[in-house]
Amino acid sequence: MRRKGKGEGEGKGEDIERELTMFGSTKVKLDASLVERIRKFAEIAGYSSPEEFITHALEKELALLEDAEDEEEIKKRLQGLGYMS
Amino acid sequence: MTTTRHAQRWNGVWVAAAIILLLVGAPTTADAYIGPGAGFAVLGSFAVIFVTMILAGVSILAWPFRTVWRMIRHRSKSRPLIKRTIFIGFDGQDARITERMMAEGKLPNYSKLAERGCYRQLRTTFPSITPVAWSSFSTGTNPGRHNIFDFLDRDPRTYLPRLSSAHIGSVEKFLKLGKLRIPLKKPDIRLLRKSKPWWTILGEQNIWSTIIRVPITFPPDQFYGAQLGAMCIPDLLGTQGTFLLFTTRPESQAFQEGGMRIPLNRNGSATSFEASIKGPENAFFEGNPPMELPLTVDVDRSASTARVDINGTEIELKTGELSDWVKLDFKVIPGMKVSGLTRVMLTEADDHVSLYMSPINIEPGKPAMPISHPSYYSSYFEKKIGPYATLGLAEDTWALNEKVTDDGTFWIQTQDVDDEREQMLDIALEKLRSGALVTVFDATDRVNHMYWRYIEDGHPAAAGIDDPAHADAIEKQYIRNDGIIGRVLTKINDDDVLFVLSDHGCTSFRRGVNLNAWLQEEGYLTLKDDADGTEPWLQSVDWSKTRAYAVGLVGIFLNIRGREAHGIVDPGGEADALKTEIMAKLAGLKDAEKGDIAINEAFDTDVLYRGPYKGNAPDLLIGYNHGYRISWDCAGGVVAGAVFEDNVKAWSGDHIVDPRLVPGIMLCNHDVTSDDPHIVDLAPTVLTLFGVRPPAHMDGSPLLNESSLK
Repeated sequence: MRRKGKGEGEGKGEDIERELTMFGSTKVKLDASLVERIRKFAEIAGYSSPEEFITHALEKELALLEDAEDEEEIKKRLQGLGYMS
Repeated sequence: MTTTRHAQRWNGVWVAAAIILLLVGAPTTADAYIGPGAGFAVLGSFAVIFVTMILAGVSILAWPFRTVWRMIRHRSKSRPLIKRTIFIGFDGQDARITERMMAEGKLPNYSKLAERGCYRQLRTTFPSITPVAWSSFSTGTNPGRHNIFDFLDRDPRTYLPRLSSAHIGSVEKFLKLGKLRIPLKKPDIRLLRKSKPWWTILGEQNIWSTIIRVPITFPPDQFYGAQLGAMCIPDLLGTQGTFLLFTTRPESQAFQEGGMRIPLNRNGSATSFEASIKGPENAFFEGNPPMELPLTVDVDRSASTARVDINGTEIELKTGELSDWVKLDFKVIPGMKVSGLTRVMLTEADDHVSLYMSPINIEPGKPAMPISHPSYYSSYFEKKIGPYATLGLAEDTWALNEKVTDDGTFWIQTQDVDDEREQMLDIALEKLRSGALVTVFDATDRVNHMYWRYIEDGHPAAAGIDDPAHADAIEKQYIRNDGIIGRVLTKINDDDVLFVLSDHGCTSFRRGVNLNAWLQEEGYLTLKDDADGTEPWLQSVDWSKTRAYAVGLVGIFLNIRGREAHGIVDPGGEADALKTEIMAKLAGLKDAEKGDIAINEAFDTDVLYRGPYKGNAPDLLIGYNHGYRISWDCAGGVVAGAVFEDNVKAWSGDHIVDPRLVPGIMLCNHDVTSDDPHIVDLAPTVLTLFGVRPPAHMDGSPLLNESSLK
């Protein structure tokens, strides 16, 4: 997590630059106090980094909103996995 | 007049320039499975040449500054205790077999390494399966922190299984040009293994790592180093490995999962046949029609040979002999193609003609999906060693299970993949001046799985043994591994640390257990009124009356209200009581027909795991006894049938059992500090060796330190 822009002392937001694994990067602005809380609890919860904490939290929320994957597509992808019939 | 002539001359120049531009800029092989359109590629090519020339000039001028900057930037911030750490992984190498063979003097290099340093059994993860154990190796964490609990996860919205390690999305945005749809972005491909692998942490300290075929590295990690991906890289069809059988035989019974039967039709004579190879779906056209290649087979029955023509490439085949890699180029649109690799074998050329084609691997020279980091690393190896297998589970176990191939062919497939891997190891080891290197060999696991029936009297699958010459296949594989270690020992120095390890062992798979059938018998799972339980993927289940179900290979889920789409068990007290009740019934569950204990114990994963992802795990993990495993039917979501059944498939050994029964192995050229190491200890060990303090989220403890290296 890299800090950009205003510092915490000013009580403004912080830019979070998250490196995406494949397709570049994107920035999200979060409240500085929230970033501090994330930083503190990420380690306690067992995450390897604050970014991982944020990603997990967002993915959990998105899973509630996104549609399930196409059934046939899922079956096709599993085809040939040696451990299954 | 002059103006017209002038204009004509300029028109001619423009036409000539356009022709030159088209020739120079004409796209060659496109390396995008689903990528930008051909028009973009044409325009882009000229720009690329122009920009490249400018960049080349700038690059030469800036070279001294870049060299200095690189030296500053890549200066390691840590104080390494050693120069190189090398891990050689043999997936599935069993501790009991290894120890017996060492005692018998059959593994002299293992013994030499043990004498010089140490040999230990290596505790594995719960469950003891490849994706879970290697993820713990990579991250130094228990599954609750890396999120891989099984080969499969389940979608609580649909109860359907899905791959646990990678998400491969589809393209949703297109630019429509008549019949053509140009994808506007690449599909979303994400690695679902969480936490942070140790090579990423080393990279943050400017320490290089080369990671070759460590399971669960698709898509590859981005870090300071190089990586060739492994387990769960799909084939070109997007599956985990689908073989094709082209045959004149009428379709009697469809293959269960691993293969497709394709009619081989007569082509004007009794010796000439034709068919079509259906390749990957073409996202550039509505409905994603498959790309196809023509195939013809001309047989000479008297000589048991055939000449196979695939889209103009001719191959001479003799019955029962596997070809070398054959490249298949599927045309996407003019100027763009997607390439795969396959191996073919004429399996019969008598009254009927049949041709086996292995799963079509993603071609590593121009991969259709991200299979390495940097992206050109896969093509680097292709240039060095030629074409090689890229599929996650590269050895075709299903063709052998379905008796399309035989034990001899499978042996060749596994050994050839091992040969490719050893060449990669040699190249990487020679190149590595400092840093870490991991190479994982898969053949041991596959050989254990497929040849176990040869070493166990009375195995139900022993009736299918087709060639006694393979009775010692498992031993031959372990001896081969010993040879690899012998060669590595000649290439390492005193300031290198070498680890040889396996992620788990192997045991017999004589009997399958249909957990869903057991759950139904015990009243925890109910079928729909009109269903008989034979439908796959749990489609027979009445979720409004079901409290527990099995999906995947390792455990049981409760049908929790608010978590599952049609959950009926309240989280908290009711769920805890139900877990306790099922665990009590499963502990010591007996297979009445054989008189053996089938399940030693069921484990509460809420107790077993720590970390933010443990809620994704099955609620119960099943600790099968030697000889037992989840049945083939249950793994496919079929409820019907007996709870216990014989396993008669060639896949006759397994390790999806009580993890305490199948430890892995670990050898090191130094004596380690622990008598009872766990696979999770290796990540903090390698960090310590390079002077990097293991982060707090890691569960393991270092096995070596400054004093133990002296």
